[in-house]
Amino acid sequence: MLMEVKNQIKVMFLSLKYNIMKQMINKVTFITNIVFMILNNASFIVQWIILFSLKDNIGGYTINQVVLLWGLASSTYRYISYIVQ
Amino acid sequence: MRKYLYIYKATLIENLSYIANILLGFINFFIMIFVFVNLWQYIYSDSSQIINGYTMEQMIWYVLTTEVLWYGSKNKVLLQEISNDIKTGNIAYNINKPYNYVFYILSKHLGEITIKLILYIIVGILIGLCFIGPIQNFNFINVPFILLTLILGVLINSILRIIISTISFWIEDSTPFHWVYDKMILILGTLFPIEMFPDFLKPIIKCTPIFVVTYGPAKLLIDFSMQNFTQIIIAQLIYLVVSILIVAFLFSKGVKKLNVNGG
Repeated sequence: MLMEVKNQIKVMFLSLKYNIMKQMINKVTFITNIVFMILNNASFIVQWIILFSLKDNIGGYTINQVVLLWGLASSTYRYISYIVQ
Repeated sequence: MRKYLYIYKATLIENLSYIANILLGFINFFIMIFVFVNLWQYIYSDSSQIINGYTMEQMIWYVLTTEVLWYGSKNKVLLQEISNDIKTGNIAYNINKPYNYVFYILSKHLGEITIKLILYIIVGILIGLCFIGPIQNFNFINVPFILLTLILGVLINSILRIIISTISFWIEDSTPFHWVYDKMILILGTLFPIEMFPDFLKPIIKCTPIFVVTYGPAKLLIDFSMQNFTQIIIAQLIYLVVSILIVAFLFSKGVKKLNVNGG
């Protein structure tokens, strides 16, 4: 049972490793993807800055809390989508 | 021109068989609209309040119109097909066919989005009427002017997306550039009118595609004036001509590069 779990984890890490290697075949594309993904996720900050300039808090949330939540949610989403792909 | 019209019609008819797919896409649209209607109702604590020249009704109609444009004109042909054709080498076969590849893609894309856009416009109007009520001071005489800016906006958006996709000739994957363009249109163009931005940003945003693709038609719908219309239509015509020149230049450069590499 434990051996099976160990093997599955090993396969998971191997898959992760080869997926990253596959993505890195073309370095320019890989780096562009990362930079633009950061820009893509960060762009939502603008939305919150404008909304919070109209009201101090929305439903009890301040801008710092919303930005932290947004950052956590978008990074988690991306990590999971990379692992699953 | 007739062959492109034929491609347009064929794609349009083909899409009529997939209406269920379009209807499924409405779920996302409803959620987005529901969130923003509630958000704006919360921000406008008093419904008679005016923020940066916009009443609550105008603001929600603005978001609704731009969201309709954004969802209704989104399509895989421009996002993936050109990139995939370049990546897989199919482009070498396509450019030898008896049509211009860019016009072929454009006709196909317009054929794909026509039904979708019409359905989104109908649903958008129904949601707007149910949630917020009719637009104040709306005059039906202005509809042809608004439609003209809307069609030009969709056309410019399509050509800009083709320009982004041609980047695949140089960088294998143009998807990240589409993400950034998407977010620029979505955040700066659909959720807030230009008047909501700080003063130093307003002139910059007026020079971006946002002004001609989403802001223009939406602004005319909620607050029509002949002066605004003239300003928007001139900007759209300039954008259209410049974007056509850029796409022609980039595509010819890209094809030359493809020939050098042996297809």
